[in-house]
Amino acid sequence: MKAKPKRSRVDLYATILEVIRRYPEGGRITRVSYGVGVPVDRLKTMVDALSANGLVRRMVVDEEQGGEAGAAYCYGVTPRGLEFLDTYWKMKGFLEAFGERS
Amino acid sequence: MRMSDVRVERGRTARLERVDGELWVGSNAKITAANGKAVTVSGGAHFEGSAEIACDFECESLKVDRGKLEVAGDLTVRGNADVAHTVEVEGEIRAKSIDVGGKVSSKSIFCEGSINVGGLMHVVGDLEAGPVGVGGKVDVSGGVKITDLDVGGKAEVGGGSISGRVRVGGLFASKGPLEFGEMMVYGRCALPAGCAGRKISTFGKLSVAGALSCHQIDVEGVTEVKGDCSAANVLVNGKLSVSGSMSVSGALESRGSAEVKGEVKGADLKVGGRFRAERAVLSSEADIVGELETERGMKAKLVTVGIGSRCKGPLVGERIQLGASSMTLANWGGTWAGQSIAIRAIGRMTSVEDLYAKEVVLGKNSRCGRVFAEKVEVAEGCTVEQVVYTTELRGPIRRAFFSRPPEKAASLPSFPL
Repeated sequence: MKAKPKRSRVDLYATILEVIRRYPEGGRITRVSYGVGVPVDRLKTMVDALSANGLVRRMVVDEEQGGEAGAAYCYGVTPRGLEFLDTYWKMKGFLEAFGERS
Repeated sequence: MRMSDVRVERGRTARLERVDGELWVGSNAKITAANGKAVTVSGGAHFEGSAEIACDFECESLKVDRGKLEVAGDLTVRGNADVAHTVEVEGEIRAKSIDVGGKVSSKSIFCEGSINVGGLMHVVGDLEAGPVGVGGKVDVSGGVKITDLDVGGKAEVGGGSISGRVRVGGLFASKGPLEFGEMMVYGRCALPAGCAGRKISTFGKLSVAGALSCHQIDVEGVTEVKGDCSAANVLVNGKLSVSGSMSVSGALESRGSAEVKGEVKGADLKVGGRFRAERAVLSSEADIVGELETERGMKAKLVTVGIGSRCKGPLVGERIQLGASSMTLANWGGTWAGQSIAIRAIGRMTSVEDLYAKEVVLGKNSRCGRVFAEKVEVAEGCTVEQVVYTTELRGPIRRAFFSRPPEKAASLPSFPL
């Protein structure tokens, strides 16, 4: 069986955004991790990076529910995040057209 | 918890038949049917973690907090099904709406409302639902009957109908004929013969294994149709190749490269790049800025060929104008493919083969084969093989080059096409 090619960091970012955009009212990190197929601790650093770049917005769900770690958050995609996805898929399309593995 | 509610403790196996109230199930519990067929819950069913149901299961609403829910029979949820991670159903799923964080797999799914899946969706049989959104991959071996499909990664369906919008980021493939509303594919899209839709936009590669019928076709990437293609409007910014004939009731605009093995029929043709066909018959106008190649010629009411453009094959029309400014014809706001060819055309001689028309206007430094027309106007520096006219030949004739002297005839030969 042919091994599945490893997802690049950008591919992972796109997958995260694709999963988060399914939750217009915000998706919880655990739920997003099930969709992306990445453990929560790894996902959290990537979502933080996306959030720092304005692709994902972080919303407080419950101040107390988060326990000692702090408040519980959920995540939504920003218009810039949707723009990133649009550009990402278009660029992937161009690379396909040129016969590049993308 | 009310008196009528039932709780199945963690790791236990419970034999149930009907629960009048809510059902609470701990992790790694197993539910079997006392009657050997089904378990019916009048209220909601709450699963705290992974669980197994060894029969058909029906409830008002379903909530799975974590882990995998395995159902050996059919799963019927009268309200909403909310699964955090994974649900695997050997039978069919019926629900009002479905929301799964990770993966859903089933024999078939019938959902009145929307289906929202974060990761993967695998359906062996048919899928009937409202809007379907999947973050990762969708695989439906049977037919689909859904309103919208929005997939982040890959989508493979067996055919059917998607009445609204289809948006696929990566790969979309249909094994059977598909009817669709508006399809937008960024990556690769493979369709069989006999597909029909309202609009298709491709940024990557679209291949159709037979005939395609679509109201609007926008090609930004590569599109291959291995059959006939019919549309109201076609816009090519990338590359289009059709192995059959092409029928366009409105405008066909090629700013990139378009190749049709058979005949092209339409109203308007605008070429800003490269266009090749066996022959093209147009009921209205043809604007050529770039390269046109037809084996048996092109016919339109008004044919305008921009400076530096090249046309192979005879041109037939009521009025043919050569050497019009490319600036007025080319879409400079268009994309790179059309622009680059239009820019390359500047400074080159306009070159065409035989012309058949009522009126022919040859611009400066145009080069053409034989001209058969009622009226012919030549400009300085024109190079013409032969001119046969019936009414008038005007312009600076001495400053034009004729291989044979112009000839006034009583009648013109019959036009091709």
